[in-house]
Amino acid sequence: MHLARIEIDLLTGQIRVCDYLAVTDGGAVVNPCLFEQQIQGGVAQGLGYALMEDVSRPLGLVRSNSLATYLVPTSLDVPEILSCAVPGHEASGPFGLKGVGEIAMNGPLPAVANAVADACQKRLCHAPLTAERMLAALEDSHETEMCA
Amino acid sequence: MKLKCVLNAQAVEIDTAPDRRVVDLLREDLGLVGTKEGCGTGECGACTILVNGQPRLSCLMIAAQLEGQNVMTVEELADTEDGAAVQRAFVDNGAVQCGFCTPGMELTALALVREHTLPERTCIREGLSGNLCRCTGYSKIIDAVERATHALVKDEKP
Repeated sequence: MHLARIEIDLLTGQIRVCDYLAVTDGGAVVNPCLFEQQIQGGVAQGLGYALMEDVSRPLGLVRSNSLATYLVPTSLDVPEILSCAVPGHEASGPFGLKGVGEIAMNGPLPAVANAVADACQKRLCHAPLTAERMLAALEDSHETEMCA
Repeated sequence: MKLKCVLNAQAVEIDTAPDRRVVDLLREDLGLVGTKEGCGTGECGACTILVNGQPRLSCLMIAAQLEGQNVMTVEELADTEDGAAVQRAFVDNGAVQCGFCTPGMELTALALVREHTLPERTCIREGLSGNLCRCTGYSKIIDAVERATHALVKDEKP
């Protein structure tokens, strides 16, 4: 379960994630500190995919081929992330364990997109939710889904 | 050229080309491989070193710029009191995952804790914003820097 509190700048369309909660069924947790960090890292990457990481490839040429053009989140882009584990026991894993390597990345895009829809009744269906896309949706007076 | 500088608290004289990139000088010529090269274009901060106590990107510096300067790489970190505190805090707080950003992150953190006593988390975020980390989501790194500053303040009191 992922929950994002966001702010949208109505002038620029910029979305800022202010707070983030991730509750994860991770089976039995061996090391709570590293579990938390693994989830926080996944959320940060997921927020990158949700908001800024855009592979631009017009005519098959990769334009975003450096860290100057393919932006990844810095410490200023990532909010405080609260990560909680649901105590569990995975029957199919050894000692009730299961992997949490990538699971945290699934949540941020839908969580942010749902927060956007909740805030301004606009459904953006193309990731990343860049300022340009958000602004275009805000300027479109119809309350329709921007999924075409 | 004969380059004279203080490298990790030792006065050294190095024979090198003046336009040798500092990251290559450190890693390839001097074997100080703790400094990492990430992007090579000054975007990621992995190659951060301290020059006269200030964080600098060694991939964007040439050897001649080090003439007469005081240079610190991650190899010296454990030998300084505050550097060791930063290192310990990173370990204790799970601020390391793959470890590639860690040397640069720790040196930037050291400069930060030397400049600010008990900085706010927003201040720490700003201070570390030039160092990219793809694994940790930054939270644990900020925890670590916060704890390191607290530990250092506690140490100073009698």
